[in-house]
Amino acid sequence: MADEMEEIVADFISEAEESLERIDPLFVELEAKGHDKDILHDIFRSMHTIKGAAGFLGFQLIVDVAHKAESIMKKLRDDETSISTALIDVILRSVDMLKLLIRHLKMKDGAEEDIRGLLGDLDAALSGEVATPTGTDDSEGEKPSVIGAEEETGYDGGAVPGALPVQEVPREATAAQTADKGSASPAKETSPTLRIDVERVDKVMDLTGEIVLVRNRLLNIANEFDVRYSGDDAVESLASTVSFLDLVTADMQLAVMKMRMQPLKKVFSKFPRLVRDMSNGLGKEIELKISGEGTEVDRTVIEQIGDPMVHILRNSIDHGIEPAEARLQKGKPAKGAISIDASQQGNHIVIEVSDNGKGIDLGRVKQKALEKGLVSQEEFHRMTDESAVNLIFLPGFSTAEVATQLSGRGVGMDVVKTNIAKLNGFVEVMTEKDKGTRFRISIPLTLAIIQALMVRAGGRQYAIPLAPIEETLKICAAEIKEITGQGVIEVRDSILPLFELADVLGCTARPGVDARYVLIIAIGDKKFGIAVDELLGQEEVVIKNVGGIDVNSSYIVGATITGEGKVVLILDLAGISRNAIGLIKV
Amino acid sequence: MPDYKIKILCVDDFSTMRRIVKNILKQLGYENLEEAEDGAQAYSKLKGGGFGFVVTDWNMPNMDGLGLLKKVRSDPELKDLPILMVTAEAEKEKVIEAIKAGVNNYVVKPFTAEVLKEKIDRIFEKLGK
Repeated sequence: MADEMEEIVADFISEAEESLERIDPLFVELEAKGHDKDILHDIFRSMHTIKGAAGFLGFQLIVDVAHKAESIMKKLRDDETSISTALIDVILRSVDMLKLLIRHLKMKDGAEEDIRGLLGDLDAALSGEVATPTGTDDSEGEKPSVIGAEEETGYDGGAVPGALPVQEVPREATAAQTADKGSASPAKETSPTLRIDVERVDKVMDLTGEIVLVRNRLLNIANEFDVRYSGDDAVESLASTVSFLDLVTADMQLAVMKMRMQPLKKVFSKFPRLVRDMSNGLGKEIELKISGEGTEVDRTVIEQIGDPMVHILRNSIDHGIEPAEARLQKGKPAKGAISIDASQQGNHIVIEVSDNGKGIDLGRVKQKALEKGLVSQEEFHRMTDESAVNLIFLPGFSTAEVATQLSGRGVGMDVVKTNIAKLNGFVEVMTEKDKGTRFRISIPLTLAIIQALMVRAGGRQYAIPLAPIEETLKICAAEIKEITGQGVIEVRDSILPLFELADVLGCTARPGVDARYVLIIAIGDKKFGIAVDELLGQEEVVIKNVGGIDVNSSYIVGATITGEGKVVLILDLAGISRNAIGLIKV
Repeated sequence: MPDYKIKILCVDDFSTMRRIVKNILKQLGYENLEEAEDGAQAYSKLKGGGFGFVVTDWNMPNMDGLGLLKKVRSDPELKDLPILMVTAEAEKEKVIEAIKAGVNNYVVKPFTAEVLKEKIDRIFEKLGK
């Protein structure tokens, strides 16, 4: 019985959180559309349901807040009062309070919130004391008694504590379990769904990774047998069985990957509210357009992409979009616009956040970078605008134009970059004066298993993610030219910077051979070549984390086990592109 | 003695509520419990047959409790199925609407196991007469 209760409470927490997350953007929609009965009813019903369940479980504070907010929604729905920003504000505060109260339940911290102030404001709103901008408040003063009556009849029958022994649930016992459930919460679909503990899915994912590695080894062994004993029936059947295993493993991998995928909507749904609150606070008018929120990404991405996106959005709202007067002077519409678009492009998910604000002042950015010693005098003069914009991602960089509010919070755009790099992704920024700024985030579809090119450089074998490799070339050392100390290579009329992988990684061993293999890499709008000693072939690798390596400075994202059973490091091309190559312009 | 074997359908869009109601019903000794997310799903389950009792929420998407009630009462196969409405809206006009539509009884949430037992027993008592 006690277990059953714990589970019910855990269910309540995750379901209530889901409901609250879902209604958040509805408020913003409501403000834009004005009186929309369906939306009003939808919000009403969520409050109502949360109140109902909380009543059974004895969570009185939640009941109190939800009840009052519900009553206001009911008045709105039934045309007894009209929508105003002030009214929506107080309901949004209730939503926030409910979230906070539910978080306390989740954390089992036993903390209580003082809700009297909020309840007072809700009461005031209920009796029509909240200032309504239009003159439609004439009907409100007469009807507060209806709500009061409902409150009494609705709640006097509840001798709640006798119903279910919630209070007896031991506090600490379920903390971990509850936290897991909360984050699992899949989106509600019309088809039957099954809620599964994330840990179980991850276990399946892990095991699938192991199977992929074993499959790779088996493929190698089968190949060897095939070479040694070709024509033998047993070897033939081994080969065909292994190739079937190959197919099934690939299918399984895809199926497990899909199991972990969730629509980006889960993250995007909190943005309308963020934009609304922030732009209201700054006295700016901003319209947010979101598209592609149905694009599905790995659960890890859902968890990690929120914070960097919030940073980018805050920047756009705070520093990108100009106040209405300034916009009008520039001949732009008074209302600013921010759009978020997500889409799948090949094996990447691309998320773009663009605003039509004033753009980033690149002159200032360069100046600031020079003052802070992030670039040398020479680099300062050589640097083009394209490279200058990337300076905002450097640790320790912050200009008034870019990050005042963020720096106040102790984080800057470098954190955005780092967070996205953790997902094996990269972020680019394009900006144009008075036209706006566009951030483009690219993240690989799956994080755990990638196609990689095996190479040898400086006497060691490395795995390089295949996706950013455009082509491979075989050249002789004489074809490598030098411009101002930078090695370059000519590829079909364009000159690309060229790096020796061994140099980038700080290896000293260099074979004295003439033949070089060059990988042409394209990351964002940057293109460059990396020279290696040998290409060993393509392989599907499972990324395993390596402890004790600083991902940000070592150019290594992890390690894998090859078909031969060797441990090989996987290189971080985005990191190489950024750090070793980022500031050079040929 | 109530018949603890009857198949009961619990209808609510909030899964926590379905669990709570089922839990209380279990406490009372009922074991054959099924659930539905809204009126529409409930109706199609009921059409599948075998149900002896329905406990339904009022406020739900797609088809609300009142809609379900009306649909059941107008269906020749299901019209005599006893229905208990769970509601937080104790406003008189709403309950009257449900009573007019033929609800067997209603219970205001949050309710205790005792209250639910009383309501269910009363429904079957009346039906038994």
